[in-house]
Amino acid sequence: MLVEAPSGFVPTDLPTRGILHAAVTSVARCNDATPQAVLARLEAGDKAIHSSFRYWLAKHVAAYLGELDVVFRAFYVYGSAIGFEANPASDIDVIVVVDRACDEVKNLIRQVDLALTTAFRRLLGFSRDPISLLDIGIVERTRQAEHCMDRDGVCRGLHTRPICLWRSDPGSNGGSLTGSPRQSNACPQGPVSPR
Amino acid sequence: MATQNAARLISDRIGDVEINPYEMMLQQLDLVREYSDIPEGIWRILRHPERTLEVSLPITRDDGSIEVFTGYRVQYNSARGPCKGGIRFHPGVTEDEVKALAGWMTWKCAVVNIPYGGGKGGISCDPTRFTTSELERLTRRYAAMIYPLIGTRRDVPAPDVNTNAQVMNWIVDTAQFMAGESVPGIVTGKSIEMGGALGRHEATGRGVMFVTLGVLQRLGIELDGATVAVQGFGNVGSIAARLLHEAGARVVAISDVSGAFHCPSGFDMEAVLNYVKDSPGHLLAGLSHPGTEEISNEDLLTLDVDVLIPAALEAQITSRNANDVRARVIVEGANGPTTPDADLILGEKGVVVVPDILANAGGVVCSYFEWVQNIQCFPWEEEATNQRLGRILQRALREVWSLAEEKGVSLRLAAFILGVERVATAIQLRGVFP
Repeated sequence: MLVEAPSGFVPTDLPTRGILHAAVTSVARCNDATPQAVLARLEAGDKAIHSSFRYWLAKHVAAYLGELDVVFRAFYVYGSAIGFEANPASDIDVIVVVDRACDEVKNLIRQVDLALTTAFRRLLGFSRDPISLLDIGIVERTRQAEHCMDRDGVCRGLHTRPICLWRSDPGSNGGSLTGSPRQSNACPQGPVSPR
Repeated sequence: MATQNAARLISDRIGDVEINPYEMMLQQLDLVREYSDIPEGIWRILRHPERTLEVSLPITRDDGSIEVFTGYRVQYNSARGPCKGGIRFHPGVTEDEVKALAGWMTWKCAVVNIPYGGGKGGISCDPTRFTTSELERLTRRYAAMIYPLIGTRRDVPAPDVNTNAQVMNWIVDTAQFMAGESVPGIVTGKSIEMGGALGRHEATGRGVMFVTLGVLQRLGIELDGATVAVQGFGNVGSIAARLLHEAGARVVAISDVSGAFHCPSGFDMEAVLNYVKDSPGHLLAGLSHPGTEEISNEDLLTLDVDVLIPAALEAQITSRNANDVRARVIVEGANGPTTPDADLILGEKGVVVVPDILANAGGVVCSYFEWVQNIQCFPWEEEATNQRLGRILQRALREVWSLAEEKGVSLRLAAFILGVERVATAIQLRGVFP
């Protein structure tokens, strides 16, 4: 880390290395492979493995942010990460439901993305791709349904229905973002709701 | 076994996940943009430094061998005035680090509204490996190599990590020989005898005090008896603690690398400072003060106090301890003591965090005063420096506070917005040359 780093240059506490490791081992478990084989298939550009890896990265990031026990209410993932179509340069489409979309939330999410993107590039030896690993839409809880109406590309014209990765209160999941809550470590079962 | 191997493999590949500081600075800028109306074209200008100079620095070691080091000087933006920023000697110095810090200095000078742009410099080296004469040769070579860029009206360096008044004295002397005339305003942070400013030594800690007083007033917290905990007892922490004590606050906890001490009735700061002056290594270790107990540094951060001043290292308040922080106000005397995760937690708890870019700006404001005195050839009394410092920082706090209220954002983001928008306005007013 930068010596005497001023604010803005202090990285998130996100345990980046641990999250990458957890994601690799989760993918290995779900695919009945060794972690080394998973890394080799990631390097080879295997789309199914890249999708699965992204799904698990998103899930572990969701768990980390949820454990902060402030603001975050739910995390959803959609797009190529659950459609088995991810390229090595693909990002992970995520919707985060929060109590209040304050600037500290936006800053933290940017820093989490930067840390994860940096580690991901280094893990696979990419110099520039992906530009950003997490494409996170922040939705205030009270405006969740309205937001969903505004984002046709996400909520109406989805190739894949968003999957809930984590939520703080299963009973309060509102709007039309409902998916199958996956709070366990169960492996995702194929592309969800392909169109 | 497979899991352990995978962990090792991943660890080997990604190392310590060093994030590029320049990318971090661009993230800051992008966040500011969400809250401001800066035109696209100006935004593009703000995302790039004006000038980046890389220099090779051969020096002859005392044993006769020659080593070559790499140095940098970056002028991020000069729309508001000559570039201003320190020079650091550290093995981790990179071009992107210097670019990022030069950008940060640009916003910092603008937040406190002094007529400077931002710059930064550094040499990638381990200064602990040098004798004094080797360090002098390296400094003078660096000064000569960046001389085409620096100047009283162009770019004014200052001390930073592992550099000090002596290093600045060597730079100004080298510049004088190259210019053929006296150029005291080419750097700040010089020795008093070389044109340094009275009050410079205390300026950062004094600035922390001014900002703390201003925040307490805004929050309606009585200064008389307000409780203060200070982490770090160096140049910033000890002076802020002494000045707040003199102003009527009750300093109930202090710490340094040797330990932390809690005195609920409040320390007699004069006695503490006298103790530290004569103690081995000028440390708090062994401090014996009536009603004092030794606590951990971690405990100090979570004391039930009105004001917590982290004035030691970066990343002290994290997601692990932010929930336990009970202070009503945090004034960041050090650079970056709060992680982004902790910032969110503290914000949700209603803790007022005064960001480093404002709270510890007393140093650069006093550098500005030194520069003004050098240009005027008219040294000020220390009292004049202190009074003007107070006025500038209180005004900056007022402006940041108002902007935070107006935009409904944290003081940290408000400070960045204020700084970046001021630079953007200056760029717009100048227009784009040619």
